[in-house]
Amino acid sequence: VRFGGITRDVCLECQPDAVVGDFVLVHVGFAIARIDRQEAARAWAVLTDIGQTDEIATPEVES
Amino acid sequence: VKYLDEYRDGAVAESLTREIAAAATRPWVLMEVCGGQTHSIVRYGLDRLVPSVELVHGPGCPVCVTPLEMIDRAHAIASRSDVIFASFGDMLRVPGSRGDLLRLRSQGADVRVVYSPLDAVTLARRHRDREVVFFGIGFETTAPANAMAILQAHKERLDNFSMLLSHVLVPPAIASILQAPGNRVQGFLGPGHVCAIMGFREYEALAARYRVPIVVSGFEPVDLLQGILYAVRQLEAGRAEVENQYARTVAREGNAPARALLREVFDVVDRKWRGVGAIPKSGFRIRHEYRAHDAERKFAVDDIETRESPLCISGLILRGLKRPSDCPAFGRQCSPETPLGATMVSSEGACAAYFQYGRRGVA
Repeated sequence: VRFGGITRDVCLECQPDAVVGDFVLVHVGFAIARIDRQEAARAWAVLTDIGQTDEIATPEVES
Repeated sequence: VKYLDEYRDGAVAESLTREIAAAATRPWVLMEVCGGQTHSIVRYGLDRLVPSVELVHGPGCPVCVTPLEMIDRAHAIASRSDVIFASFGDMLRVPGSRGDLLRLRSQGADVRVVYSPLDAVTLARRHRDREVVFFGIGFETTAPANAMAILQAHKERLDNFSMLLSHVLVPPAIASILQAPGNRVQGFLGPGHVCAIMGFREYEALAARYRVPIVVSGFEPVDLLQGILYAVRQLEAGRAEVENQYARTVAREGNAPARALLREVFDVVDRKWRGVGAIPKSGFRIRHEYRAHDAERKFAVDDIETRESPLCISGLILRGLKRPSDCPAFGRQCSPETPLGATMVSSEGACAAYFQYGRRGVA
């Protein structure tokens, strides 16, 4: 897993479905969760709905 | 970094603070349970952005709530000449009754900092002639990695690997705070990474039983502000439900393989929390089947009489009854260089966060 320039082996025992290219949440050398891209996109849509939608660039989300 | 920078966006944060101000018709008291959230709140000054909401810091710093007896046991085990004692870095400076582990290392003990419990298993594999003991502390977030280390050592028959375990669980602590006389907390920001493992069914039971909103929240400023907004809206509407602000990481059922791993290696037992006291069914112990890797069984350590600093008020801080800046020793006798209590040591401790971000003598 690459963390902004640093690469380290992490235990994927509890993330059996993770594939190369996924974003995972790593804690003490252990992948505990996979970041759900669809949920991330949906949550961002809710956030950009609050108030000044126009000023915020919606990030590009691959799905 | 994707999924991170967006959640530090100033414009979104600003519109959220306006929404919170518009939603709140009266002051509300919320508690963030996790030390990582406390750190983010103090770092970004979020509590000052939302004056209608009082944020109380909870007992969510794993290093801080590890009982003094455990630090003293660690000290006694690490003093043995046949032991390599491995720990996360922030445990080393936590003051015990007889000093901290870092000082013990300076006196010649083999105390090592590791990044992961699995690194401690590697040490045991490399040093078969030594006893390798890992100090396994933390909340549910860290527990699967510790369980995995025990399982791995068990599979490889590394009988020189053991763990001094002091694991605690969040839901019983929330219940204990809500049951305490004089409790002021009206709603919670739930611990996102704990729930990434455990899911949030247990929190639904708490919300229903004690009639409090719980919003499972992330750790970035936008996550926390959104969590506050959802909690305030529930309070204003008289609702008490679990909402999941952190759905990009947390699912209702949590992480099934990780939970299976915890059931395999650990039993739930009563645990003592430093500064808080004993809480029923609030922690883990190593199951009988894996007892060969339980450092408490392996190294009979006599109970040492424990002694807390008489000046330190970390117990009141961990229960949300006082703020770090209320402590007369804060920034004077007590600093991260010379900590009197655990809340000043750990990067997740409320006192360390206040000190680091310049909240000295400010209410």
